[in-house]
Amino acid sequence: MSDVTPLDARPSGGSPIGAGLRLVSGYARAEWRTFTIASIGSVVYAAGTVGSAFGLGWAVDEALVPHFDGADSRHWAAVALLIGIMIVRTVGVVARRYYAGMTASRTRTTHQRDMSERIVQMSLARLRSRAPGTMLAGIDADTEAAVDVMHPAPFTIGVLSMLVFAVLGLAAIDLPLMFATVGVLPLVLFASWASTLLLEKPTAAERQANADVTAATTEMIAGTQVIKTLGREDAELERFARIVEEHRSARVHVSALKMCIDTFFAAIPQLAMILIVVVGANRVASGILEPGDLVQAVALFSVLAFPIQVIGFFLTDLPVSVVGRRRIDEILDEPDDPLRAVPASAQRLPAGPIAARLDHVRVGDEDRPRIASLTLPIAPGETLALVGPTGGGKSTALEVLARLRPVDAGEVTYDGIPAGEVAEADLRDQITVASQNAVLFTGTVRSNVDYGRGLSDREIEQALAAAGGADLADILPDGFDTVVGERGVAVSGGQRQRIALARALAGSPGLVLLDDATSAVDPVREEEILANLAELSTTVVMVTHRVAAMAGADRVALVIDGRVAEMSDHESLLGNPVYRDLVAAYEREAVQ
Amino acid sequence: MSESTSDEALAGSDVTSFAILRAGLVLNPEFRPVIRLLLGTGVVLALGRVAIPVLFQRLIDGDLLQAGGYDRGELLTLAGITTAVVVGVVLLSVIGQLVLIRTSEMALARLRRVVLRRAVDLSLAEHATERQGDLVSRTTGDIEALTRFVDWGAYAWLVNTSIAITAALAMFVYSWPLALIACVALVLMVPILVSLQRARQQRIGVVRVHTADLLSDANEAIAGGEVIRAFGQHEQAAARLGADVDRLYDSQIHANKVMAWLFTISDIFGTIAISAVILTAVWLGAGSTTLGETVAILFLVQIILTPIAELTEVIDDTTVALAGWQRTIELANRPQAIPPATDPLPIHDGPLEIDVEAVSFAYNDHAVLHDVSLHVPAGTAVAVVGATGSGKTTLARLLCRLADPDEGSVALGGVDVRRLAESDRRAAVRMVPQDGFLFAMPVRENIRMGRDDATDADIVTAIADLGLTQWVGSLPEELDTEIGPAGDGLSVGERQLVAVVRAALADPGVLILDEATSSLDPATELAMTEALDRLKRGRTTVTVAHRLSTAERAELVVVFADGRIVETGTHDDLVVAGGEYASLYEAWSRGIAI
Repeated sequence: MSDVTPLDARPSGGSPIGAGLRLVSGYARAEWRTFTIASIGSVVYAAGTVGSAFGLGWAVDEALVPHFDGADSRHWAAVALLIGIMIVRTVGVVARRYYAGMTASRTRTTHQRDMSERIVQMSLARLRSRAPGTMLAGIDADTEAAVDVMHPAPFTIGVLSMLVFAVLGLAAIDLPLMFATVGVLPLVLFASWASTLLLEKPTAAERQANADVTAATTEMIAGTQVIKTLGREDAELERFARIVEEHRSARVHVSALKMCIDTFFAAIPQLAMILIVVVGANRVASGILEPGDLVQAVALFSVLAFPIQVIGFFLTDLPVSVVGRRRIDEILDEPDDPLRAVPASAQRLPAGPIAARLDHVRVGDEDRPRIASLTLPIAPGETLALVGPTGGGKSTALEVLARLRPVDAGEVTYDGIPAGEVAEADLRDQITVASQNAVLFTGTVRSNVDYGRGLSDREIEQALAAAGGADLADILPDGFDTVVGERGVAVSGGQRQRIALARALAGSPGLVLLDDATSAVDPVREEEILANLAELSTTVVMVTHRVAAMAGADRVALVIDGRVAEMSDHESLLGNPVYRDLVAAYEREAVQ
Repeated sequence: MSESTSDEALAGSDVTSFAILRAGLVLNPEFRPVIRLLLGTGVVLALGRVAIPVLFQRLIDGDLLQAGGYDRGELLTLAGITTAVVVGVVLLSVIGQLVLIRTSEMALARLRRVVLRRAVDLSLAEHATERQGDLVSRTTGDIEALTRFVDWGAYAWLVNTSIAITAALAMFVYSWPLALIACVALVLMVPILVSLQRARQQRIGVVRVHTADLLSDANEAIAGGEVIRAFGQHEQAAARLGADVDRLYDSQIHANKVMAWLFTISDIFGTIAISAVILTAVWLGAGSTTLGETVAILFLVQIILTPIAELTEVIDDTTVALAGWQRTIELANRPQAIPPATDPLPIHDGPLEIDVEAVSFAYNDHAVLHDVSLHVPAGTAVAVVGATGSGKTTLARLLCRLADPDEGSVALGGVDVRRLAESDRRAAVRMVPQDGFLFAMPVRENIRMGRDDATDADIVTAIADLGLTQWVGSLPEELDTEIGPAGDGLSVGERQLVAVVRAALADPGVLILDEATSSLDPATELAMTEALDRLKRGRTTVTVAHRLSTAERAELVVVFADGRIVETGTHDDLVVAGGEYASLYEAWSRGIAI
């Protein structure tokens, strides 16, 4: 949109007003065209508003006073003047509102795009460390809060110019009258500044309390069955009542403060008008001023009543926007996924099954690593099962192979090429993943399997068949063209896993990584899928808890405490007592 | 899509607004004083607004502005009175609004508690997973909308109406022809404002739809973070979200066009009204009104403008809030799903027999159980097997009275569960659900939920009795391990282990167990098998089995298909019988033994 981005408007540090004004000025510079039009519109509106007060005064002096005195009334001219000024004002206000709205929307759009980009580009570890709900709220509520201040911002500029016009206007009418009223202005500005400071912390506390209530509600509804089976209704509702009570008192605090501030701002112009009347009446009576001049002066303040409050709105919006912006920045500050940084000298992977190797790989701190030192050679075309107790590092090893997790020491190679030097396109097309938690995107079954790779219908259908999903063509309402995913039809866990598996098998990959990817598929069909996998010309590495899969694999690696304890075929590994115990845990299931 | 959304929001709002209000006041009588307070505050504020035009009229018509008529004392008296009125109004309205805020927040807090209580009390039929989103939105979003309305909308309605009426009355007192012409001019703008509001509402409906699309795709991009990265689809995913953002932007600009015009209307008509007043005053001639009265009316016209504009502004907030309130009221007024026993019967300790008599049950018209009967002798271990959706989990829920059957009865130890006191029922039957939902507190406190008065020593003993001491030792902080929201930090199997210890603390006569569907890792599996074997001793147990090995070890196997019991017997008998169970068993054993 412009070479200045809203990112330059970082509100970090300083007083809330200072931070808020820096935020506004950054936003205004980024969208300077629309912001300028809105500001000009606002100044035109201000001039029109001040002009209308003069129009009213003129109408009283030239139409009403002569009329009641029995002289010639210039009422048509007065009406024409009033309507003319009104048209100027209307043009100004429409321009201001439209372009102020556009400035806010454009800024918000930039934020939303940048946040979307971050969500996609940050590393998986960073993504997983964030609560999804908070990120979604960031895209929606926080961006809205951050740019909210851009609605009143041009108006505030207009109001400031309106104050200047009003002061000049009053000076033109009568200097003492002007000094009497200008005295009120510093009071207004001081009050605005003080109110902003007062509101910042209670507002943040109220938002937090509100989030707590929502979280507690969601938790209770999700856990209702447990609450009921345990007979914990009363205890849990009591806990909820305490959270609601905190929310209530936070809200009372904020609302009462806001109300006092609003009422105060509403009263200022009224008191100022009385002051004008007292000073002005004296001068009218002494013949220095006409009655119309006094009407004009009072009308000036009457039309200022709302605009002066806008300064208040603007200043009370500032901390809200600053808080919203800070939340956004937490996401915008996420660095790019370091795993995506591929040097220019990237090498191509040859087509066909990939020989992969983990060499003394460590993941995590030296003191408490997830994997201490894992060496795992994987032969091209083999099916390798990773087996071992939970927390032993099987899934972590698979994520390292999938380039989803960086290594802290050691080396990962594909066909002898260090992972960091392989062309990104090859990593993408040749190495695929499916896991227990099979995520589908809104789109047809076909588009989920294709997943942006432009595969032919034949390739897609073959992949679905290999993944045991051929029958989905008959089961789902529109066959492979059924829309699934968040906004599509609900598919069962097993169906979802089969579609996700087809996605991993499609496009002739050289290395397929499966993390318990058929856990929700029934045993008969799983057997069929395992047989299909053996047929494919690709390397398969799978984490599994099923004995059938271990027995069917070419080799099994027993992974314990981040090391390969032993690697061999299923039969030979049965000599290892740990492996035998693990298998026994399942065989107890089969034959007691 | 968008049009239907906004039509729904509009539909019926005018007809039922008062009905909703009445029903809401019955549910939440605390809101009654709120309405009175608002009206009172409105009148006070209106008096304050009218004060300045009245001051003007007195100045002009009292000839205080004439060369000879100036009287310093009288001027200061008038100004003093007006100042007192303005300051008094500020004080009164601050007090009124403070009471108002306290009262309405109290009412809202109570509404939240009442509604959540009702949501928790609902039968589990209402808690089917696809309806949980609806319940969450009723207990959060809908009350949120009502809160915003009380904050601003309700205030705007009552206060603005009072101000507009008071200012109009003041105009009529001064001169009815001038007041009439001003009011006619102002009333003419109402239909224009209303139609612009409708257009705005319709366009904001479109904005909401596009916002929902963006959030839904963003949610997929977060949940599917691993897939996007593994398949290198970063750019496509970002492009998809970018397109959503662009559509949202376009809809915002479209809505903004209406908004830009909306707020100029009152200004335009205000000028028309003022012009009409001036022309009418001149046309009527000098005898009918005074200069002071005419000037006062000009000011009063400006005072009326703001409330009218604000009123049209809150129309759609009102619609949304009332619709939300209606949904909330509807939820709060639903009959209690599980009525407590009025004349409870006693029940004995120890293992209990189970009698299910001709039970039928439907979730919201979707029949799940048809005429199911089952007798389980006390102390028997039963395994219930069958395909997903065949009704086995529903039977388990009826046994612990998470819902009542539509027809037939469920009896424990010879007593209908509907005749058991709630505390007795909870002591007699305990369910270990499939996913042991944990609360965000330490493991120890999660376990203690099984029996409130359990001491730390009781908990340690229960863990030891189940053979889980070693497993607890493997947790990062043992029993003090903090659980994240919704059980974060423990695997499904580990969460279920916590639920097993909870059940052991309660020591029920009947144990209902819903096995985890997904495979557990071997260590947890071993611990689980051992713990369950120990927990089942000396009780009647009903296990919803997802593993046939569980059925193999059970004393009685019950096979469900399409909501009916199709086979009952021991594992060995059923395998020999060659029916449904035999074919299930065959597939399973082949899968294990390749």
